[in-house]
Amino acid sequence: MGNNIKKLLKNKFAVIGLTIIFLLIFVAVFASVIAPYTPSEQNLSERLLKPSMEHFFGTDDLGRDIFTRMIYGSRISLIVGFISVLIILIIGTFLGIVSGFYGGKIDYVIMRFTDIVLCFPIFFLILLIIAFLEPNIYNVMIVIGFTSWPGLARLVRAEVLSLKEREFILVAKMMALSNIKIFTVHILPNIISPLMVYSSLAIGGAILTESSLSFLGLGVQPPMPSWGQILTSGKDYIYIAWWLSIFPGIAILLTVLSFNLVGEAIRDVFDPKEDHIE
Amino acid sequence: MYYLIKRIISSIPILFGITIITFFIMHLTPGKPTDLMTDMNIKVTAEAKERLQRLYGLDKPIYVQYIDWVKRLVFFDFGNSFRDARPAKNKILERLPATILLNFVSLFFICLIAIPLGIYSAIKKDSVIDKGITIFLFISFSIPSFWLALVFMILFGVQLGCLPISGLYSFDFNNMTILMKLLDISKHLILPVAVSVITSLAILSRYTRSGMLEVLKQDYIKTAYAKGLTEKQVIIKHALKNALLPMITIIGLSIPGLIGGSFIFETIFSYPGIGRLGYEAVMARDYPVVMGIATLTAILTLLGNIIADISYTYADPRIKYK
Amino acid sequence: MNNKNILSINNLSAGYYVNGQYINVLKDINLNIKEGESFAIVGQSGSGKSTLALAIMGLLSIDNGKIINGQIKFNDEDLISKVKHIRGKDISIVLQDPHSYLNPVIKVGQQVREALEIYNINLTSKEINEKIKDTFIKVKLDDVERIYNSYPHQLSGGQKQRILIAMAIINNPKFLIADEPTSGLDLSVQKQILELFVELRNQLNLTLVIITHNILIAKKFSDTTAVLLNGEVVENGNSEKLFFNPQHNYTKLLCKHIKKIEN
Repeated sequence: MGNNIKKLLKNKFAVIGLTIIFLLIFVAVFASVIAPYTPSEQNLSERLLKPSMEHFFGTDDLGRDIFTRMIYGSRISLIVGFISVLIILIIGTFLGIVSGFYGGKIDYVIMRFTDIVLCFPIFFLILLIIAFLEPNIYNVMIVIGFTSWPGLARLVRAEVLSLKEREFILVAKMMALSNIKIFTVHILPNIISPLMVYSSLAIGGAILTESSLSFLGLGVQPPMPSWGQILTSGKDYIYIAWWLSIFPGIAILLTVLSFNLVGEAIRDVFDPKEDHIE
Repeated sequence: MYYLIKRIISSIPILFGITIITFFIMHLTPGKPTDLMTDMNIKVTAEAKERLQRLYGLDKPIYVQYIDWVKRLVFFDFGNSFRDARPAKNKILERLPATILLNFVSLFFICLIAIPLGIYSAIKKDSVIDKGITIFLFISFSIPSFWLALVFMILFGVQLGCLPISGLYSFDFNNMTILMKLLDISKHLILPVAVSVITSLAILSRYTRSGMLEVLKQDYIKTAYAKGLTEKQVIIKHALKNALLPMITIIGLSIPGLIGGSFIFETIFSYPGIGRLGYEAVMARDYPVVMGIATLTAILTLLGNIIADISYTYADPRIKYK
Repeated sequence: MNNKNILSINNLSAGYYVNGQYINVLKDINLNIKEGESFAIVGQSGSGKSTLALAIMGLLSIDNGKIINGQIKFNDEDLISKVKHIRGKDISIVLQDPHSYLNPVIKVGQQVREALEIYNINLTSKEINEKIKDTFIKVKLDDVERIYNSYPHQLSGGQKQRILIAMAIINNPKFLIADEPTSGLDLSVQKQILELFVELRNQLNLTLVIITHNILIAKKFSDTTAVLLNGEVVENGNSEKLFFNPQHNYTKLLCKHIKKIEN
C-alpha cells in the first residue's frame, strides 16, 4: 500500500489534482475565516461591480461579494459531491456484491432493475424527480445517489464475477471457509481499488450534476451559494457583467478536473491486472 | 433473426419496468398529482379539485390506476398538457425531430473526431501528442456543459456576432430557398452541436484508445508484421476492425447520455427540441408532458441498445457464424 | 547441402523493457546455420528461444523488446536493418499457438492472399488464386474453397496451423522458422504437422529452423541442434551425436528425461 501511494505521488497530474482538492477542503472548512464578507450580505449600492481589490471577483446583482459566495459555495459542492457518492457506494456496492456473489434469480432481478434505470437519461430523471419533490440540497444529494448507483452496481458485479472464478476463491471454498470469510479476506481487498477510482470520478460527476441542477433552478436554492447558482444569475447579465459567468465556471472546471485526474491516476497505479492480493 | 426476436422478448420486462417506474415517480409527491395543477390556482374550490381527481381516475385504487396508465401508454396517450391543454403526445412529437437531428449530428461528429483521436493516441502512446490529447480530453470532460454553452454564446454570439445563439430557424426562414434553409439550420446547429461534441468526446476516445492498445498487443498483429506488412497496413487492415467492434456497444451506451445532456443546452440555446420542452414542463410541473418525455426517451434508449446489439452481432464474424 | 552459412548470429544480446526496466534475455548468442540444413533450437520456457526467433525476424519491438548488441547476417548481409523488407518473402516464420495468431475477423483465405499480394503486385487475380490453391494443397488443406472462406473460429487447431504454414511458404522463402509448431495441438496432429514441415523442406529446398522444448523432436527432425539455457547457447552440434553423447550437464538432463520416457 505504501508503495502505491509513492507511485501515485510520482504522477504530476495526481499531485496537482490532490493539491487542488485539499485546498478546496481547506477553504470549505475555514470559509468563515477566509471570506472577507458573509455570503448573504447585500449591498444594493454596490451592485455588479467589476473585480477589484475590495471585491476580488466582483459583486453580483444584489451587491453580494462573489469571492465570498464562491468560498461558501465550495462547501456545497464538496458536501453534495461526497454525500451523493457515499449513497451511491452504499447502494451500488451492496447490490453489486449480492448480485455477483449469489447469482441466479437475485442477480437477474437486480440486473433487470439496473437495465431499467439506465434506460432513462439520468439527468432528466434527476430533474423530474426533484421537480416532483422539492428542490433543496438534501433532495439533490439523495436523488443523485438513488439514480446513479446502477453504473457502480454493474461494475462491482463484474469484479465479483471475475474474482469468483479465480483459483484462490475455489481453493478457499474447498477449505470450507465461510462465505463471509471469503468475502472479507479475498474479495473485498480486490474491489477497493476500482471503488476508489470510481468514487473519485463520481464525485466529479456529482459536482457537475449539482451545478447543472442549480443552474437550472432545481438544485440548491437561494440564498445558499452554489457555484451553479451564481452562474444562473450570471446568465441574465452576460453582456454587462462577465465576471458572474467566468469565475464559478472555472471553479467547477478545476474541481471536477482535479477529481478526474486523481481518479485516473489511482487507476494507473493500482492497475488491477498487476495488483491482486492473494 | 432468432437473435432479434430473443432480444425483443428479453426487453419486455424492461419495458414493464419503465412503466412501473414512471408510474411510481408520478405518485411520489405528497398529495395527488392533480394538486400540482390546482395549487397554482387559488380560486379552485375543494369540489373542483375532487372533480379533477375523478377525471384523472385518481380516486380509484392504485393497481387500477396502474393498469389504466399502461393501457394509455400503448397509445402514447399521456394526457393533455396542463399548460395549454393540448395532447402531450402532440407537443412531444412536434419537438422530437429537432432533438433527434441535434443528437444525430452530434453523434456523427463525436465518432468522427473521437475515434481517430483514440486510435492516434494509441499508436503514438506516451508521446507528446498522446499526452496533449489526454490533457485536452480531461479538460473537455470536466467542463460543465452549460458553462461552455454560455461561454460560446458570449464569444460567438455577442463578441464576434457571427453565429446565431438561439432557436433552429431565423425569422425569415419561410422565405428562404431550400439551400438557404439548409444553410440556416446548419448555422443554428453549430453551437449546440459543438457544446455537445466537446463535452462527450472523452469517453469514446479513451475507450477507442484502450481498445486499440489491447488489439496491438495481440498475437495476430505479430503475424501481420511477419508477413511483411508495414505499420500503416497492419493498423488499417488488421487492427482497426478488431478495435472498432467494441465501439458499437460503447456508442449505443452513450445515447442516453447524449439525450440527457441535450436538456441542458437546448434550454440555454432556446433550441426547439424535447429537451427544452422537458425543462419547461418540469418547471411548470406539467406532468403529462414530463412523463411523456421520460417514457419516450426511455423507450428510445431501449431501442437504441437493441439496435446496437444487433449491429454488433452482424459485425463480429465470431458471433455471426456460430 | 553445401557448407555456406545462410544465417550467422554473432554476439547477439537482446531483451525486453518491462515497466521501464530493461531485462536481458539473450546473452551473447553465437550461432551459424548452414544453407539447406534442418536446425533445431531446444530449450525450456524462459530460455529465450522464442525471443531468438523474434529477434531474427525483427519482431521484438512489438512486445517492447530490443536488440542491444550483436549482429545477424543473412546470406552475408546485415539482417537487422533489412529484415522489414524481406520478411514474409525470403525469410518467414510460423508462430506458435495457431489459436491466437490468426486475425479472428478476417477470412483465413484473405489472410493467406494478403501474404502473397504484398510481394506480388503484378500477378493477375487468376494467378493469385492458382498459387493459393497450390499452397493449400501443399499443406494438405484439400477442401480449398470451404477453408478459404472460413473464419479462424470455424477451423480446427490443425487446420489453423496449416494456414499459418501456408502463409509462411507462399512466397517460396529460403529460410523458415517454426516456433513450437506443435503447441496447442493434439498429439495425433502434432506428428502430422512435423512431418509436413520436413516434407515442405525437401520439396521447397529451404533451410528449416525448428524451435522446441522437446529434445526428441530435435533429434528426429533436425540435422543440427543448439541447446539454449537462460539465454545462452550451452551446446551446439550434430543432432544425433548430441542426443546420444551430450556434453553439457543441462543437455544431459534433457536427454535423460526423454530417454526415460522412451523406455
